[in-house]
Amino acid sequence: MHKSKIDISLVVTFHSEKLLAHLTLNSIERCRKYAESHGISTEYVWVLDNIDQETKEILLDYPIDSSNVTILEVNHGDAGDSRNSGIAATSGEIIGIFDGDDYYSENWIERSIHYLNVYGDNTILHPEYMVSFGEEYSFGRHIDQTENFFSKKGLLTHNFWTSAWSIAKKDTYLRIPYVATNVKKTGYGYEDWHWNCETISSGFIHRLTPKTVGFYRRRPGSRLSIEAENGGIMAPSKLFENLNE
Amino acid sequence: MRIYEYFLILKSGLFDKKYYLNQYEDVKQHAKNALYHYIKNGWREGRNPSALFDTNLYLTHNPDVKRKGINPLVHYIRYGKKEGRFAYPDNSIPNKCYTTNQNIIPSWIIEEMKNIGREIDPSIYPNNNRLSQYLYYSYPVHTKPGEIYQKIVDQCKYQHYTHCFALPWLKRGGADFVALQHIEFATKQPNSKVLVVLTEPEDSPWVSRVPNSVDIIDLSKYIWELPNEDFLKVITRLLLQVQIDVLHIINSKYFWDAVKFYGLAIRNKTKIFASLYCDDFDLDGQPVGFARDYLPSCYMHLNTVFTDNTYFSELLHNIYGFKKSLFKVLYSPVNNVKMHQQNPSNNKSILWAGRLDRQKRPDLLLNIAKKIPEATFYIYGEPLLESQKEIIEELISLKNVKMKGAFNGVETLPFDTHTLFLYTSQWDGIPTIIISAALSGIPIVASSVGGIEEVIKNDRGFLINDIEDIDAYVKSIKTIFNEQEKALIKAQNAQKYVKNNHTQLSFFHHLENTPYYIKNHIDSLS
Repeated sequence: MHKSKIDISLVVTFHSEKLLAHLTLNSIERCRKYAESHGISTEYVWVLDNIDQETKEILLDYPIDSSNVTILEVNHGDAGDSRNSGIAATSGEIIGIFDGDDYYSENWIERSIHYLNVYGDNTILHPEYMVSFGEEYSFGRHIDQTENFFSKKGLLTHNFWTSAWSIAKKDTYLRIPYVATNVKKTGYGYEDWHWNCETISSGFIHRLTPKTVGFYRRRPGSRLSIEAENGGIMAPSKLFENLNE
Repeated sequence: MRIYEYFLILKSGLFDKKYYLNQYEDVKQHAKNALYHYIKNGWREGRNPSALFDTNLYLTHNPDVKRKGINPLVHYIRYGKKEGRFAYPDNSIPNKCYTTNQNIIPSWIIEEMKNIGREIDPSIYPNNNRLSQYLYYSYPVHTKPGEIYQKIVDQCKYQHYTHCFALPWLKRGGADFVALQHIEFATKQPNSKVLVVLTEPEDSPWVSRVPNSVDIIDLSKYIWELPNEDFLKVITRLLLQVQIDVLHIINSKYFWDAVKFYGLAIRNKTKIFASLYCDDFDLDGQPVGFARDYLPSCYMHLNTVFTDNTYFSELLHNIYGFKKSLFKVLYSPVNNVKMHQQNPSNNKSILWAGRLDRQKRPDLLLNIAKKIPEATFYIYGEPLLESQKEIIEELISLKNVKMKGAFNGVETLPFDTHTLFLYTSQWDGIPTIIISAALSGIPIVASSVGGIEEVIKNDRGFLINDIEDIDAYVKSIKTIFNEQEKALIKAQNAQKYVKNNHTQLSFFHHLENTPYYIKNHIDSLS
């Protein structure tokens, strides 16, 4: 594996996506090649969490230069822990977090690295737009923390950024790791929402990468619906110690 | 109807009663209250509340609101106005993203969808049919729940409470009296920090009885400011963020809801207890109340359910199969009453006390009073329900009835000066008033419901098994008048029983032995 200089490590988590895993990798490959064509070096860390056999075979069959891929098999059964494991295995200065069943605009990696330089190291970038498809068709523009109507108070009842899509310096993810939730055991859910709250309370700024979009696949029985069914709620966060600050 | 919606719209000035009634003739003819009609039916029927708001247009242009099925005017007042959403057809569309028209998805996104559709997944290709399905989702920045949450947190003196009692109010009543006993017990524990939250918008005169060291937060004043689901999130966040060792719910619907929806998360750091005393009954005679509404979906999160009588815990065990170990019977303590003289006399004065509502059956009292004109009935309590008005008016009209009005706790009741205490309730646990009467030594005639039989057995008083049988009450009352010495022996037996079983010492002792209820249990058992 080329460990000499990696600009961005792409952490992708899988569990039971089956064919969708292949489609998603096609989408991320499209982003990655676009980034490489702009002089950005990349590596993959695929985290296979309690992976089913079919998804595993699809991933192992995926046509890619294996020297650029680290595959981790874990049994966390938890998205937050899986991402943390993946992050620990990266060598890039920057990390991109991807879900194994979504799609991304071709420029998502390249533009984000550009804007991370522009906005500074304490920035966490999200796609400007979300388009959801599958069980529900909708779209919306995420919220930029520097915009006037942003308010920490709003995070009590709503997450402002879809899924865990983010690109930031590796140090950001190391300083503020995801918190394991395991909603069926703890009742805590929405680890991405929680991570957003924790990072904001630690002074990081969530911004949008202009003209980028994430495509969010809504599936029946998805993790979000399991969280809703199990009465999942975000774990305690420092952010709510004082919403006035 | 949600009352907060009514007042929110009323205050907004966006409902024009005259406009509404002029526009909709059928409403004018049939509806008693125009705004009530708009909230209940009007908006669903696409009617406009005034010339300033177009219901259908708002729903069309804000599909996220339509999808949630919420009142569009309420949404506009609370969020839409601030978010710049338009409400009136003459307004120009301020932001083209708020429509379902395919043009509103930025063209560069459509271009990207085409590329992904061609190269990766055809199902995402944005043909016209598919594009027409896309709804706009406006990421909401609703600050009100956060503002209210912060106001509540600001009232918490501590970051860590050993006990939090969730009560609807603190009125003059039996459940409130027992709640105060629990609070007193908690405050007496070493290093305890006690929080009381009140969740229903009613007067709480007995807040004055709460020890000074206890923090009291009136949450009820915020209820009108938030939809229920947001209020639920606010109180659940409070429970998650503030360290609370023991949450004890005594008749607070909102905290029952928090446990129902988020119990698993709450119990990560908090032991949850509840008190349940008896069922209520609806007009069809069906049992209703917290035990029925919440226990089947919450029992797995609860450490212990306290009841004040064995009857109710056995009933719930028999009906639902809850483990017997879930319940702990705590006999309510009473220690301050006016003691009966216990001297036979020719006095024929009957004391009745309680809420003059459907549960306490003032209609039975009325019919008994009519049948014993030679006795005088002294009635303590205030009417609560409009439905009992005629009965109460008739009671007032009887010459042998003296209406004495509200009383401030059982300790103020004149057990000392009456011949007997009459109790006609249709359902109950073991009411504090019965324990108090027994402690005073006054002979008792009582309907045999709930746990009353646990105190007033036949050798301790006069139980009426068929509670509708007026003649049985009359017969028992006359027996007391005619055979006072025998009646007083029964009363002494009841007094002795209560003195042995309903003491504060025994109540506190049982609490001390309830796992996790006090800190040394939390430390040693966890």
